[in-house]
Amino acid sequence: MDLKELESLIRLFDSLSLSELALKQGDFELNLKKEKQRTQDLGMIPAMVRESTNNTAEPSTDDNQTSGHIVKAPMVGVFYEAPSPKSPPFIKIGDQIAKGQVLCIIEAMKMINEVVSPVSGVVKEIFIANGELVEYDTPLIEIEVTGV
Amino acid sequence: MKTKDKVLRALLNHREEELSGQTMADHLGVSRNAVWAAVKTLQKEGVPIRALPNKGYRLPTTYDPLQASYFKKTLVESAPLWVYPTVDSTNDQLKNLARAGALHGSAVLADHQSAGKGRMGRSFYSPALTGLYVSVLLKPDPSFQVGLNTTLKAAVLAARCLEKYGAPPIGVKWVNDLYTSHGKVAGILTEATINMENGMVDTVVVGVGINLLPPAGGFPEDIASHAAALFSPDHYQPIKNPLAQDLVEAYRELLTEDQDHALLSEYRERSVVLGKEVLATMGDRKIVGTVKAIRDDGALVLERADGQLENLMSAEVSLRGDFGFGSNR
Repeated sequence: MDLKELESLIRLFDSLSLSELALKQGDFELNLKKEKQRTQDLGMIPAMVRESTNNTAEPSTDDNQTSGHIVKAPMVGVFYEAPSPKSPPFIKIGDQIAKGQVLCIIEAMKMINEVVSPVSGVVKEIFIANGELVEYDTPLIEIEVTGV
Repeated sequence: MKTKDKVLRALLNHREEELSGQTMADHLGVSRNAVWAAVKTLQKEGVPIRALPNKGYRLPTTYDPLQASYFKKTLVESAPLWVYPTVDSTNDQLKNLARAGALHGSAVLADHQSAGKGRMGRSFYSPALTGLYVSVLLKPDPSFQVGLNTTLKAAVLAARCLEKYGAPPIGVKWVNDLYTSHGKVAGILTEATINMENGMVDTVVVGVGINLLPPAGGFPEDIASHAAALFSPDHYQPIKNPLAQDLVEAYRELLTEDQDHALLSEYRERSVVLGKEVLATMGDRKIVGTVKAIRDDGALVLERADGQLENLMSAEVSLRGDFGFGSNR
């Protein structure tokens, strides 16, 4: 096995969810081991966004008592603002939205995930463009909360 | 039950030979005239009953509609099954029912979709009667972590069910397309809702659309080059109801951990892209590479020409030179 093959093998091993790999080729022996799971398992949806119900608004100079709630990506995937390219977006800035309303879609591995609003309020900001890939916990949408 | 429905059921259950009007009349306890009138009404509604003079009536084997009465009690008692001759989209219908509080395991089945749905609003061609469309609602236990690989697992379960009913060997093209050597025969669409109060998956609707037979007049032009039917009309035996029942049963257990490993290994075995050179399209970006692996979470590991590996979470993948089926399944 030459260096290039070895390098590509190690990279492959690293990308897989394997914890150990042993290889024997003639008198060549290789053992690869991975430290316990990476900090975040990409493959699971239910995220630890529990704290997101807390008020994440930055200390603002706003005088009014409304608070901004940041909806963060519950998983990695592609952000979609509408159910299909021909449909109008689920929400736009300034829209009044109700708790339980669909805000956007995140798609990964052809699983379409509707992100449902945890609060009622007004859409203040949409941080992501349609079709963009988002990482877990990326801020997606800010909602000025008027009710929970 | 109306005479019309009784006549239809008698004909569905007796396809080997013609049933005479007199036999049906005697059996159903109605007049021969009533049977004749029922047959006429059914024919007018589009049921292809063939009448042979002096012999009687018979349905072709390719007439294979879903029958609500077929499904076994235990299946229907645990959660409701809605059976439609036609519905806009079984996934959409079930999502509406889910919002109204439908139970885990509820299912919507249809012979035809008037607005069949593919990924991101693409239409999924759904011809009358020659297809089968099944969607099942899953409400995962809060302690269960729903994986992004759910669609992959659903594809394997569909492939197994189809092969059980005599379909040719089925391959899967990442992520959600089922192929035979003739072309794409089925597709999966999984839709989930994520409750952002706790970041958990509230509901999952898993839907499968299957081309059982070639539609009358063939597939529409835009998909004719890669769509295919599982069975030829010449050799078709009615399987739709038992097949639908098996799919509902299999999907109700989709979100259980103990079968993950087996399903993912089988997904790799059935993969038509593993080890192959593919073109992956992500929005405006296109990359060519060799598929090195499919990870447990469902991501596709692609090796680019420069040796770099990329993990794809979302892409359209096509094989070089054909529409998805390699020679070694």
